[in-house]
Amino acid sequence: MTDTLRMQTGKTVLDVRNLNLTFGRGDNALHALDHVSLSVQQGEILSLVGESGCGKSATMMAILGLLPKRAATVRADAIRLGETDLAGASQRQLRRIRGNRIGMIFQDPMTSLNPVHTVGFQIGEAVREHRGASRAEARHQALRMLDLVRIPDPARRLDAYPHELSGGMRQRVMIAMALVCEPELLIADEPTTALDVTVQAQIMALVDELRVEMGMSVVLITHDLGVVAATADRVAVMYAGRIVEEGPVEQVFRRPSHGYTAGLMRSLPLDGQVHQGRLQEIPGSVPRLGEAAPNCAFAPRCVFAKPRCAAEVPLPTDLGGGHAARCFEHSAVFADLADNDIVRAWQ
Amino acid sequence: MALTETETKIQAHGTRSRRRNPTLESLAQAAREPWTIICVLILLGFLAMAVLSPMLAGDPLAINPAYRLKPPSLEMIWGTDHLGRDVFARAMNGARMSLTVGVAVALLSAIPGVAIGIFAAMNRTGGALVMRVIDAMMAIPAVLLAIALAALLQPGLLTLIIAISIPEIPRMVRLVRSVVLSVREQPYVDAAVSVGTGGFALVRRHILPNTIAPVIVQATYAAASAIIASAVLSFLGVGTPPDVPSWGGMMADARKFFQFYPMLMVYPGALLSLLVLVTNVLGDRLSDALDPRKIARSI
Repeated sequence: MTDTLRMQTGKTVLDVRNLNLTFGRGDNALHALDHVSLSVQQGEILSLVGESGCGKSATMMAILGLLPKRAATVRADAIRLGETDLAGASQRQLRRIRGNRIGMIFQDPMTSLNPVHTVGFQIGEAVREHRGASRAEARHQALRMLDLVRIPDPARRLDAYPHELSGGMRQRVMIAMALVCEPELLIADEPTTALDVTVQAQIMALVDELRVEMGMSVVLITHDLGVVAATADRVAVMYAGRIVEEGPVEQVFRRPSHGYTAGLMRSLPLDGQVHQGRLQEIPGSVPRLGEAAPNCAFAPRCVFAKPRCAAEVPLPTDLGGGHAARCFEHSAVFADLADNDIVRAWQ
Repeated sequence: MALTETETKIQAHGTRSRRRNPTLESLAQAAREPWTIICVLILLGFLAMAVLSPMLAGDPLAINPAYRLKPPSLEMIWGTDHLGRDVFARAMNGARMSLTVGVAVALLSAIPGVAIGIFAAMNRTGGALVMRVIDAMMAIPAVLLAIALAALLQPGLLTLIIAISIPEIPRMVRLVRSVVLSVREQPYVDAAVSVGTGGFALVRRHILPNTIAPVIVQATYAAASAIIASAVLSFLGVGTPPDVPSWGGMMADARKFFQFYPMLMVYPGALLSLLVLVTNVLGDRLSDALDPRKIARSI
């Protein structure tokens, strides 16, 4: 993405410090997030990457207070949205923030829209909820948003039911729903996974354009490194409930410094090349949730693992330029990947 | 952003375009099927019978002991009963009570049923408590419960309706609760929560509209079973007082003369069966038309 479009003012929109999340209590407690810290600056796109179950979505759900209180225990040193403290906010206060200051779009646009209401009604709902707008005003705003998300003939689509729209259109409607109150932060939870490849690029381009137009920040949850490379400013790689590597996209792609990031990079197919045989994969599978690992959770699958990796938890090592990795063997990882085609392409 | 362009679009779009609500579409489609049309016509016939009975037939209450158990004549086309009352007039008038009970019980079981069912699904502790009470109510046979209630309260139409409605409520509660439990987990509910909708608005805008279809179907079945229940209670003598003509009451009276005057029982019995049949068939049609999978297909 062109850097001239970035409007980073250095203002922190979202700041999360040491977020811990457990499901259940006592001996059966499952540790889903372990000391997750991240921050999002105004106007930037932070991408959370990792495989299913690593805690990407759980992080965002915890921030928004969307996890069931009964089952989930959220503890954090701080969760701040601008000047507002979300960690200590009541459900009532959180409700005033959701859809108003934080918008969210979901993975599956086919089921995320209510089949019994028109799309206009659903887009207008947040304005009615947060701005106390009348039906007519909400309708007016919905029309404006449909136009903004580039839906052709928005006036006609306003009274359409979700089933009358294609997947890409529905995702545009979801985006309109999330952005109608012009939030500071948009959380996009795998917004393109359920869509056709051609539509994926359009939706990502739209999110990026709207980010510039509205001056908002975006947290993009994805498992697609291609999307990260094309859209994000910074990336946080998650594994088993921890952020294992974090930094500006160029830095992370140029100098991958965690065994898991390295594995992800190696398993990517490259544009314009005929692949010989199978793509590389990461051996083994994601560990089951349980207690917080007393070591590097990736060690059992890591080709670089040394005895130390299985014995203690690596703390983030600062690699300069805002790039950090929780890896004892970061030099070895990078040395091994120096000749990787993707890494070379970013040099 | 071209705001002026948007403004013009907003102005040009003054009126709502035609709604294409998938549920209404599916209902309209079902309404064109011949079976539905026949059943609706028969039901309208019963309604006309109930409304127009004073004009179509004579006095259902007039007793004429000299004219007892007469065969059909031009004047009284279904003859007279053991007190010399006009059977045709009584049968026509009986439709009033059956229809009233059917409609009233459908409403009186659906409205509290929906409210309690939603509460039971949305509130964990209170819900568990409510469901245990519901379980206990389900353990008592409906007719017994109705007889007990009818005996406890003043006899009359209202008592009859309440006595039949109360045993219907648990079934409705269970249905609503199970539907709400699944609707609550739908991604569109999460999406609504994520834009800040919560509490009562969430239930009213997103959960209730997706729960109502099975409730309508269940209410139809409740109406049919209430019509039978009211006949049973009248037959057992715990229904409405004798001065309110009812099909159940007519059959109870006719029982004593069944061997010699079987038609006295056949007339109200046939009407009762036909009304229940038609209501059930319409319930099935509705159930098909409101089935989410069917709605999805008809798109």
